[in-house]
Amino acid sequence: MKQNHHFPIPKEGGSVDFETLVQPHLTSAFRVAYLIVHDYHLAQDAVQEALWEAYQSLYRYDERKGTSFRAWFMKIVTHRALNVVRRKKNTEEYMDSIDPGQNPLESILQREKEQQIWQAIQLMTPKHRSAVILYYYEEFSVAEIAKILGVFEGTVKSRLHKARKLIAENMQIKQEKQVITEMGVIMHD
Amino acid sequence: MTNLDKQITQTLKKVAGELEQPNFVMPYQVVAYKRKRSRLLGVGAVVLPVSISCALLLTISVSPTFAAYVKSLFNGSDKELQYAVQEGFSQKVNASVTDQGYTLEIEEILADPMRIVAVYSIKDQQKNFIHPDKLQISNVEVIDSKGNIIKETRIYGLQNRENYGYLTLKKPGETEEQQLVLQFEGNQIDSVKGNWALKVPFDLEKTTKASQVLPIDKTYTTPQGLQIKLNSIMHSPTAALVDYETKWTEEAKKRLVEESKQMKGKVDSADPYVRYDDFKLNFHVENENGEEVNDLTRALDTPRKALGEYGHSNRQYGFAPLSPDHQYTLVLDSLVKTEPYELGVSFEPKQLADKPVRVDKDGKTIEIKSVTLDEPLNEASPKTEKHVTILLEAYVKDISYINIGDTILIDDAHKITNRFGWTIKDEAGKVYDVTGGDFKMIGKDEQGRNHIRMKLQSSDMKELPQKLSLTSELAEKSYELDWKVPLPMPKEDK
Repeated sequence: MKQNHHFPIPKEGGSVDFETLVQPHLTSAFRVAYLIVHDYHLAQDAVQEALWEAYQSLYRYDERKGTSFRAWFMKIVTHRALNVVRRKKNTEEYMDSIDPGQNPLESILQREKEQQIWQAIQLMTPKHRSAVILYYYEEFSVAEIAKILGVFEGTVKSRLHKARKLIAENMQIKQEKQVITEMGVIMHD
Repeated sequence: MTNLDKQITQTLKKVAGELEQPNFVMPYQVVAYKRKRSRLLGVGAVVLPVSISCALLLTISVSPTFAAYVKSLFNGSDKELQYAVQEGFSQKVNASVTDQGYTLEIEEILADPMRIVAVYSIKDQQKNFIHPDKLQISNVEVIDSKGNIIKETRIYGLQNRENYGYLTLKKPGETEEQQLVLQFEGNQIDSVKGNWALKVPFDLEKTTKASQVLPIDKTYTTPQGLQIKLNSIMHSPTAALVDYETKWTEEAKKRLVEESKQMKGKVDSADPYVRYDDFKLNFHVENENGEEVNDLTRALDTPRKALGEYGHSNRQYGFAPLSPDHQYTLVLDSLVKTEPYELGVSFEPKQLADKPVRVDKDGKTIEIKSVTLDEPLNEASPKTEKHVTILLEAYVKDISYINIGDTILIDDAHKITNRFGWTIKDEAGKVYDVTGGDFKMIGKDEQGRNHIRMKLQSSDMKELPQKLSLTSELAEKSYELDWKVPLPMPKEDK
């Protein structure tokens, strides 16, 4: 370890512990950030910032509170990614040089339905999108997502419900919409 | 889970599964990342001995499929690919497989060290074209002669037109092999399940020969202490790419540490995180007539690689291939970074009509234009009520952005608050949360200062206080630079 670094050593756990803790979640952290941000470099920035923050705040993480390290770290990553989206939005408002070129990843989704789903997810507000990604991609429970996003469980449910509705509408499946209205969102927990 | 739930999960996994993970620097890590140089991008790598200009002199028949394709598909949008096709760099393949009455055919491949593009079509038994989006692709891989998968090509894109699908794979750069195989598999066409698998050999020999990596080896240190070392330029038939490194000087590092102390608690980062990496460089390439070359950085999607702490990283700037008929210069236009920057104004909202507010201080000017009740600017704000909205304009030198506020979610308190932007305070010291706003760059004033318009909104403010003070302590500053470096061009073969 470097002798003269600018970062305080976490109260509990040294650097090796930190890497051991964080490494298994890096791939999924980057993917979650990308799914929220839709930009490779900005997602990279979000996760890098999250790493710094997690390292700084590691002493605050207490397993005994019942939160897994994955959920704790993903909370930081999600917030970083959401902030990047906000910064990106602000920048794009006054920059007309942004290249609106199609994201190549959009095109890998061959089936019409998948393309419609992905398009709908991209068009959602970041708060709905992050709920969808944490729920469907990371398979966190509603309670865990509520903790991660800092909102009530009911809010998560309502965001997921609205997100599903938006997806269904985008897919133009009238029957599907009726099913959603009747059934609501089926939750993991 | 309903069927829709499953489809959402599957879609997200499919998108995310294609992502290659970038490098990350562990916070305690010193220079643990050794620079990984690809054969083609490294400084001092062997210069590949064939020229683009030589190819230009030859009359090569243009493949009709690709020619039609470039005409319809890249009409003005990707001239780079069109150029490469016109110069005869595409390879006719005509590999096909038939199953369940449908024939999948790969017609042509255009492959160079920057990207690989394959054109495919689907036909039914009567030889009618089936729209390419009816094919469900189950696997795409590029392998070398030993069967190793070329990692970079795991990310691919598709564009479908009426009769042809266009598969684009990126950056086959990290292989020594010239002979590669594209494995392309589909398992469903329209609603018919089947197996359409093609292995199509192609080679990079011709385009690699037409590609060169030339050293630039020029270093410049900005007045802000960012050292930029231009390593090399790679010319390929479809693009050009400048490879460079960035590093802060020792003095700048100290200044960044000092800045971070001033920024403590005012930016959305963990204390006392020093934002070594939080900058952006703006480049452009122009010819001798000042005509700018298309920027392809986003199209080539080159990830930044961390080489260590303190913002030491390896980056690339990509642009359209350069014509041998011109001379080109890379111009570094600006460095953009967030810094401590104080702005403040106090005023009496109710007196605004009678007493216009304009503050001139330290070369900065702020004007309060209006205080009104408006619709929420933030979709998260309650929509049932109007919100106090302050419209202000600022004239500030070199400032390209001022944060309005970032939304922070407070631990366990289920409370959302906004920080790291403007602070709105009344005469009693009560602070109002900025719940919405926007930012617009209007242009420059006669003094060359940036003219900025901002709206700050607070749903917390139910009635207008006697006095309001607005303060902001950070801003994104754009330092104009003018470093010009002539770009080395490929030499013709003797």
